[in-house]
Amino acid sequence: MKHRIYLKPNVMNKWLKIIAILAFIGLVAAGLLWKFYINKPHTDIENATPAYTLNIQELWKQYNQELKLSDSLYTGKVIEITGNLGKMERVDSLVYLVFVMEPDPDFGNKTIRCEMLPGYNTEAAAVPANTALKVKGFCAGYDQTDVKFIKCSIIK
Amino acid sequence: MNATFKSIFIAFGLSLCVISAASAQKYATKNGKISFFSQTPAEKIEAHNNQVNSALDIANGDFVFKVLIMGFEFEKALMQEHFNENYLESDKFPNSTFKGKITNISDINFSKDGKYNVMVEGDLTIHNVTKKVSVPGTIEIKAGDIMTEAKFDVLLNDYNIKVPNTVINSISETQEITVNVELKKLSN
Repeated sequence: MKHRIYLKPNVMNKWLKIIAILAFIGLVAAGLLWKFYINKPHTDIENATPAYTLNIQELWKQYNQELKLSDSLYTGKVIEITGNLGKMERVDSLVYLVFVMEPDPDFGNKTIRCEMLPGYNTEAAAVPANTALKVKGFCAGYDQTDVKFIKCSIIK
Repeated sequence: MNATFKSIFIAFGLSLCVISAASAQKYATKNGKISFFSQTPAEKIEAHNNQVNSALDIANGDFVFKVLIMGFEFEKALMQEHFNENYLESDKFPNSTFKGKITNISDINFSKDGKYNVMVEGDLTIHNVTKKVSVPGTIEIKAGDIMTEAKFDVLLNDYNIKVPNTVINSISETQEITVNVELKKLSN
């Protein structure tokens, strides 16, 4: 035997209001989740405060002597480095500033390499070798040949 | 005495020639490009790394490349985060490497511009798992430089990369890897 429940119009209006409010809150929450979590922006490396500032010799020494510790300190972080530029390399639309650290039989030299942000390509390409520089970027780690940075900018 | 000096001089000269010949056979780059791509109805995944170290010894076909996992750049920050933290675990396994050989290196005339089909065989290590792979590719000799290109598929499961059930429909089990490296003669 079926029972039917009849709601009075004012009770029904109240339920409709609650459902509408819940749906609105759900939509807003989904929108916020989409914008600030699923599509959250990348860290703005150019304007980020560096976790560490150190010279290239110190960074090189630390990665070679204490790889695990250095990985935990520097890899995956925004780091600022200072040192004398070894050379500039250009491949297609990419510019790299290279700090030469020591000779290497397999790849020519062991280096600290910075892949520049596109907005710094012109400035980076014009820097003569042996110029003292301060560069900030995201440290991707050390592969036993090079310490690599991406999204780099020149600090004035 | 004179004969001894002569022998030492000749031996020294010969060893210099051997060293210079050996380095003349090596080509390398640190600005190679590697990318991977996959697409499902729910999600397109694409990432690039522009700092691949790669070296080729044209005397014997030995070919290596290594890449830092943390150097891959994605369009979406969250995807990059999950890639490093959950899938590739780049803090535990920071590198991916390939060590192998171009098996038909003798078919290539490195002194003349041209394009050749090659077969590369060797050990590919991703996520601390090493698998034997055999990959077709091309080598182009252009003005003394060597352009190499290869495209191949990698199965995530082969390298113990686990995709959680919640996103299993969004992430393809197969990733297409493209490697582009322009090798230059090594000069120390």
